[in-house]
Amino acid sequence: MKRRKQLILLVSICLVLLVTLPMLTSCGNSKSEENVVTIGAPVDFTGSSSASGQLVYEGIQAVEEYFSQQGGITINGQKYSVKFTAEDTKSTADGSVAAVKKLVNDDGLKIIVGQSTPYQISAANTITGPAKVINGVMYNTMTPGELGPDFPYTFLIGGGGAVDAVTGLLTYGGNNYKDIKTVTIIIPDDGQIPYMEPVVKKIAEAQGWTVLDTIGWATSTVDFTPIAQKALAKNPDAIAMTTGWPGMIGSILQLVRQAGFEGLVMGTNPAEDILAVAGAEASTNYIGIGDTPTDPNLPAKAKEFGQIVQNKFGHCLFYNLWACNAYYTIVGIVEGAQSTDPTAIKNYWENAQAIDSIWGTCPMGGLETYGVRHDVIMPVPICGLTNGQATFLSWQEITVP
Amino acid sequence: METVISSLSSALVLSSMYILVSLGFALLLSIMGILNFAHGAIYMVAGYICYQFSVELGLNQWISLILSVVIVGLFGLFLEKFCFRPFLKDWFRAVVMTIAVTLIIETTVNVTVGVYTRQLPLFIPGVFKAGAISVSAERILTFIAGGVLLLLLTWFIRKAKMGQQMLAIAQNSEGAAFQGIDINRVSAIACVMGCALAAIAGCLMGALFQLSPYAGDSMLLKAIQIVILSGIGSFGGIVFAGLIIGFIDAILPLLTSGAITQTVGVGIIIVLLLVRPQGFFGREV
Repeated sequence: MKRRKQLILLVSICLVLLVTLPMLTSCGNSKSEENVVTIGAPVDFTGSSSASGQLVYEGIQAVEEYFSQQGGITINGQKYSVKFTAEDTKSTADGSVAAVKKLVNDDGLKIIVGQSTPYQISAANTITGPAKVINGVMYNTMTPGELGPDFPYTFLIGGGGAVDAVTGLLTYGGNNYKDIKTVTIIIPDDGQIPYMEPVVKKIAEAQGWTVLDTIGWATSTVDFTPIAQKALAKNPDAIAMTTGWPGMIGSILQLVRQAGFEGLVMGTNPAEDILAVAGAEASTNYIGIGDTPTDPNLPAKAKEFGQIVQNKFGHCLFYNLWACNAYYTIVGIVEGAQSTDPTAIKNYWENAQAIDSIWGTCPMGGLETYGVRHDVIMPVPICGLTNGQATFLSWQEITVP
Repeated sequence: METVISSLSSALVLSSMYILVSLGFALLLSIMGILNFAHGAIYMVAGYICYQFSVELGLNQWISLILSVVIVGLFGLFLEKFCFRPFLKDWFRAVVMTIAVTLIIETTVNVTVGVYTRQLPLFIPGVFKAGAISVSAERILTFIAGGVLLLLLTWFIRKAKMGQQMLAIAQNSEGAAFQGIDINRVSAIACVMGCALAAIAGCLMGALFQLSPYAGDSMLLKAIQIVILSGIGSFGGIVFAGLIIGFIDAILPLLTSGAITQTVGVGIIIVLLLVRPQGFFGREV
């Protein structure tokens, strides 16, 4: 009986400590957090995207280190240090909701940057929207629930939205391949076709091209032979793939080349990745999007971050710089707004004439495309494959109306 | 005509790989009664092991394939002894164990090499052309390899003593034990064979398509569909069901678009199961 009472007393003390200690520590923290800008970062630490998620997190750490070295930022004459709080999204919509809930509801953060898939963005918007929290998304595929007037606090910050990417790709193709008259478009059928197809058609037609066909493919497709066959069925001069991953784009490039197609193939993945899949023999007359961190053409700020990442982690890949860009840009926006209040940031951001990124100074746009002027329009790096060799071609300036 | 030939080649390649993977899956299910959810991960990791040997270490690609098959096959021994045998009488724990193995393998590959784009070099480069028709030599090889392995496996199960023992266990494990068949030994060999078959398919497919840490998930789904469609316990039915599903996956995208393809494909399978719930060659319950 005595032992039982002692046990109950011990458990009770532990429970009390468990409940009160976090409150005591948070009291201490709130004082030291007065001059800290904390930005939430939902990251794919686990799940299907964890490999790239880890690289994104490395980019976040590089940006934190950069601003630490700079002494932070200045808001209304006060110095603020910059911190990022990352939460695992598990690469799923449910995980994104849980991560964003933790960041917004539990941690009280007012700025979130990170989602890059349509289902994650839509899921996160259900939390950030009502809470009026800035939600900086790193990609976009035009599906409802991602970006638009219904989400006044959601902005596209990654410079890698599908519309931006396709605009850059097709504009470069139109400027440099004057013999193209017809094109077949290939779009993943994950819900984006009804929204992306009209936009892509418009961009293609702006180059003077006729769109012969739009082909959708299921994201679980293993063998792209039927897709390649359909793409070639109407004898296009060129094939444009709006979104995809190297396995898909590389497979289609290989298959159309095996079928004897010699026309231009456009895809939204870096040349080296496509080369690894398609093989040297098929890797020709391809233009894609991407830049290697070691490219001497990189803008100065991007090179600087590339060096930070390289020194810190022993490598620097595309996803590292992609993350550095997004998180560097948001900090600059906060400083530009001279406020940590989301509404003040939102008002500043959507009315800004130019935004500083690691790729340079970028205009805002997207009012006609998305219904809100919430797209940071960044130049698109165009790379190419010629006779099995990958090369960087050019930075393509774009406009997204 | 060109489209027909391309579709036929695609269908035959897919079918042969589906059949290879499904046979390995079915071996374990029939003999040990275990739904091996790790089968897809085994298929996937074999491709990466082959890549390590052939590209990173510079070994001959065929030798790399053999090494990969041997390593994965031996892993099958480990699986049988430590992951399956202790849980033979507890189906749920066995399934949880296979899921755990899947997660460990997939996460390990994802964290270490998942971010890099990888594809195995072709085992046979080149394109076979006849007029306007062109088929890659790799696809022809994949189909032939699948066919040869299938014939060998069929001969093994029907003619070899060990194969007969496997059939006996699949039909009635208690009766087989009474006949003096060493269940554990036969199960271990079946596991090795199943993993080896998945490994061969993984390496061949890894040369045709991109290596991906989660490539095994879709292949596992196909294996389950094929085994159910053929009828649990029927090895011959797997060939038939594998051909059906391979042709559906190759031909349907030509007729429909995008995600509808997957829906229609699964719909066809459901209809077939409604007509014959035990599968084409399964026994009535």
